[in-house]
Amino acid sequence: MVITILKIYIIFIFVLMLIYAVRHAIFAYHRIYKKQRIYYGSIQDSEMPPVTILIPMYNEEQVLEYVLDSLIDSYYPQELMEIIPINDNSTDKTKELLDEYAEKYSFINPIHRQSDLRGKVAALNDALKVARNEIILVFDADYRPSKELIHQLVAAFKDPEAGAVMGRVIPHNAAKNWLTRLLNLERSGGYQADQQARYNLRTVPQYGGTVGGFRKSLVMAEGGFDTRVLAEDTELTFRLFTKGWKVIYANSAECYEEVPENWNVRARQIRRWSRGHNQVMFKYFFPVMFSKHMNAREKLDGLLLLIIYLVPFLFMLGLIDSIILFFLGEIGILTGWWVILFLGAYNSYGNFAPFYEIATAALIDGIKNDVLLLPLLTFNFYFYLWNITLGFFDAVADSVSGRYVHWAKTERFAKSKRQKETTK
Amino acid sequence: MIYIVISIVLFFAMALFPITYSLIVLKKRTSEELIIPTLLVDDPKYFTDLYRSAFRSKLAAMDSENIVEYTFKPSEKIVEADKTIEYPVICNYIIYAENYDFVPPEGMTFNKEIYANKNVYLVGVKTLLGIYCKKNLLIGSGIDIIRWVDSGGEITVEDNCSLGIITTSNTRIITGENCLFARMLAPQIFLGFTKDTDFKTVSKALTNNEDYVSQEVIRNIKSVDDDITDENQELHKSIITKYDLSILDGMKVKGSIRSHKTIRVGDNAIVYGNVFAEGDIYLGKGSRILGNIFTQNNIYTEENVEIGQNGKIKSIIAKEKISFSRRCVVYGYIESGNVCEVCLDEQ
Repeated sequence: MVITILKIYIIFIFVLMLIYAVRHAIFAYHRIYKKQRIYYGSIQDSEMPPVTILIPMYNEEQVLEYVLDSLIDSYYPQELMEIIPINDNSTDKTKELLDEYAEKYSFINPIHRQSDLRGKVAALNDALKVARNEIILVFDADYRPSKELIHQLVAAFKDPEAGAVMGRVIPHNAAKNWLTRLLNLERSGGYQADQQARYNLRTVPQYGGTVGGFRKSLVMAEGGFDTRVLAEDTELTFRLFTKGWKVIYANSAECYEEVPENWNVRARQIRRWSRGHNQVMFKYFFPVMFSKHMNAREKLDGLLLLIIYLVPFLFMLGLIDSIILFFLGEIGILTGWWVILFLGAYNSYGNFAPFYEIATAALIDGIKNDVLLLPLLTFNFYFYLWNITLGFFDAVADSVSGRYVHWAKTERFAKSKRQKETTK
Repeated sequence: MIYIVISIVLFFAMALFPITYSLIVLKKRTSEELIIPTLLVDDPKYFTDLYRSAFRSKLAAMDSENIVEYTFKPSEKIVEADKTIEYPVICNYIIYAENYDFVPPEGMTFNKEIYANKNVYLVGVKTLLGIYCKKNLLIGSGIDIIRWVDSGGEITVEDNCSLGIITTSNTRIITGENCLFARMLAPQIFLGFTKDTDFKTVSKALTNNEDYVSQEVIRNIKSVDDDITDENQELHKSIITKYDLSILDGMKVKGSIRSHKTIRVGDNAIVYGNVFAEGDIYLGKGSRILGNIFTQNNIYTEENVEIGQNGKIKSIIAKEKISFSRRCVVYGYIESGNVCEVCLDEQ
């Protein structure tokens, strides 16, 4: 009986792997060979809406000048911009620096939070209460928006069905080391191929919580973001889709970000993502399945997206399962026509770091040489397998205990503008 | 035994080869950061503005033989039109007309750009690469423009012209029939008109409350008809629908529209907001859209359609073709990923 269950489970894992492999292959094929949907970036309109830009910050003295200076230099009219940097209990010079900016620029209105309820989600909720405009954009403090980015993102809201918009992030420290080079490939695949393909196929492009925006009224209709969920971006994606709104992906709205430069920081980041994403999975699995506003294609892609941080945990169980079966001498399951299924699944195991999509994106982005680094993603695969599994357990514990989740900031590596000047 | 050893060796060789090769690549080569393009290619005037400013700066540096050096293309000769009486039939020089109107002889082909400070009258010219004209510009019948047209004043385009990639004016563009273009930007664009039209009378009077666009949404309807409009045949809601949508003749939608399929706007109907669709958009006779129009497919208009509002800039954008009938007006920007036709089917 136990052995039968173990065998059924391993077949289930192989089928699941194949489903994701096919999904990624479809996305990659579609991105290269099929008709691409155009984005709204070229809309010319003399009546662009006013926009509020939120930038959550915790001890960001190193990087805040980059993002603020970039926004000040934006081509979007300053009279239509309100920038709210949200200083969330910082202990460094973030407050002083923000106050300097506020003195110089009337459209920069920082909030200094001293609340016990800390973290990005709570900070965003506080800022939304004072934000003056319906269109809200969010940037992380380490981002460096280009001059036309605001127009690019805001243009999406001319579409009456757009609930949120998501731009593309590009690592500015890609060449730093092994990890950043691999993360550059992953980002490329994730945006240039995966997100764009989902936009083309009209499935579920994902709002990523930064370099993006949303309609304030849709978020405030439910009292703001859920402070118990770490991944407020994924939560908003599914909140919008299940209520009949869409997330628009803007591949041309590109922005630089800083990716982690060491494995410890990346481990914490991926574990936090897994925890937040799985919290959303628990909350939205059935609402997505039974939503009246999502069609079959959106539901299928939405569910596969929802469980994407559960799959590594399931796969890890599958690995343990296969080892047990091997030592019990029951691995003879690998005979007959099933072997084709198993071989297919085995060969596509790397689609946690979706190889097809990364290769496709590298081709489109013109970084073809970096495709030669793809085999190294095998290490990332096992590294993620472990950390995502930990994140899954965190999410289970959160759901069972109902505890409040503290948001952990990702460590910054860039030198501040002032430090750079001193070095010179 | 030997087969087992060979198998093990082969397994490790095949497993380790890609990783080893990647490690060598990692060591020997560096990755390059992706560059976010800073060219404002979505700005319709980007390339024409760039050309104008480059030309002005190069003009100041022109040598005694009228040769200018560009950083982005080989050196070129400039011919000053004010001092020139005869031109070769095929002109391979940049033309610069400084103080007088530029009126080239008929039958010419200009393989380089024309830069004029005054009016330009192009009649009987065959082909033209690109032209900037500070004042008014007449493009006579049958001219084929390869790249771009830009004018500080009014551009009048006669029948049977092809206008290249982008046509922009700071004031007004008027085209005749059977014209093709890809992108066009001007505060007022009159398509499929005759020269003797009194353009002051073309714009339709706006009703009161013209800017009102309702944010309240009605979903998944198939038509806007008497059943859902008030006694004035007005619907005060925006529409989001997964179906083909028809707005019946004379109806008014005081909101925006989004359809996952096609949209058909009936004769003399008015939409006060934006119109977005995945499928084709059909605009009936005399219909009016005050906002932007955007589709992933084609747009077809009948006669006397008006898009946008005088004094504002709005856009009509299609991934595929846009086909205009006679006497259509656009206030702002037109863009097609394929081609824009003016009265082509009627020729």
